[in-house]
Amino acid sequence: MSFDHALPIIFMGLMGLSMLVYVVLDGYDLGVGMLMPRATIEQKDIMVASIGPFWDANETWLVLGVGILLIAFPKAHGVILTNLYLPVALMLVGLTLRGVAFEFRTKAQDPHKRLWNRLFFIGSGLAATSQGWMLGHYITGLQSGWVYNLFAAAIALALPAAYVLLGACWLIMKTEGELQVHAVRWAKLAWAPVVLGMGLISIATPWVSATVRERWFSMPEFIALLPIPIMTLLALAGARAMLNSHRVLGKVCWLPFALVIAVFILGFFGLAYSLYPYVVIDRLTIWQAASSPAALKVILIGTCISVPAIAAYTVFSYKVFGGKATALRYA
Amino acid sequence: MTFSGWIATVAGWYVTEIGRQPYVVYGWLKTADVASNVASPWIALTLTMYVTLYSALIVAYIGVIKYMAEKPWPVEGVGFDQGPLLIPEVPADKAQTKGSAL
Repeated sequence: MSFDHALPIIFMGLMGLSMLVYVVLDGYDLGVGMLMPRATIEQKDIMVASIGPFWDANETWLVLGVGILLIAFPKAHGVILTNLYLPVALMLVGLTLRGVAFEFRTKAQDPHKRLWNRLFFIGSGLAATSQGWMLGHYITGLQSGWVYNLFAAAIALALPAAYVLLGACWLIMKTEGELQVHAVRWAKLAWAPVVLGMGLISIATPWVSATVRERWFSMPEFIALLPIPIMTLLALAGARAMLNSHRVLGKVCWLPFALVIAVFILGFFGLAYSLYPYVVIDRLTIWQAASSPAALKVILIGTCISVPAIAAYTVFSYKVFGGKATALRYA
Repeated sequence: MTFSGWIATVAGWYVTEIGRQPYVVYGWLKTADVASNVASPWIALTLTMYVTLYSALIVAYIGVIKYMAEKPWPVEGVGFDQGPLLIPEVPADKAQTKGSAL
């Protein structure tokens, strides 16, 4: 394989990685946002403080992912964003609202603080729901028809549930006392819809696309791939068992969060295996959608600088702000 | 003078964007040739959404700036214009609580 032929694969990998990191990282802070109405005023402040140093850096991974889609696969960018025009616009409204609410809620007068807390919740929910809708349509090949809309609607509910599960597990790790106990209960509530949603995606994608069906259900691939669903189920069951145990409040408070991340990563690999080499399933391969090799080489240089930089500050900020969160204060 | 910086920035942006028309890349690519084929009612809807949202946000923004400029908290030797933004302690019955850095 020549380097020119490999370039689209490199960018597909980079884009996939950005999207995976985005879904995991912004997933937990959107989840925390969606849990806000269930907490007391003091708990709300701690919840916001627990995501304070990270949330906006988390969103840069989305910018990176969509940026790579635009510059490396412009044709796919055109097809995908034209098809998902409205949900993208709604997601942007959601992300705008929560970004502003995040800042203003700490500076607002008491009577207005409730409004900003509510907008923070609404913005988080709107962003997560639109992303679910987009994911649902994307993995069924952006086709129209009521079945596809119904499926997208189901994912539009399942993805926020997955974010809530991730957010609750984040809070178990980052908080203590009463809030931590609440977070365990919230995680348990979100667990069932997540299992249901993942099951639904696993059934729907092979059903919609003959390519995916063939890829998963022919021998010997089926046996070779079996570890992916089995490990996913084990991770989900393990997370549930941890949530049922009192030990989750102690030293292993990070374990449910790690297990749910494992579920996300496994789901991602399953999806990547289903899609590759398509960037829009059964319609557009990564080579058909890619920019010219000359353009990709220039972009690769920029990427080699920016991606390690983003990865480095991400790791750095999580190191600096490790440990349990305390109440919010600007100082 | 308060908002003159903004107006200058936004005006500069308008001059570039409008002055470049009908091109999106000057001399190379016309705006009409690269516009998406999203149905115009959708465009109208989202434009209304953005304008409404940002109108509301600018009202809130000016409100917050005014509130902060009036320095509602009893402050000793600390101002909004001195280094990082500080929110000093307020009575415990108010929602602000103290703790470590954000």
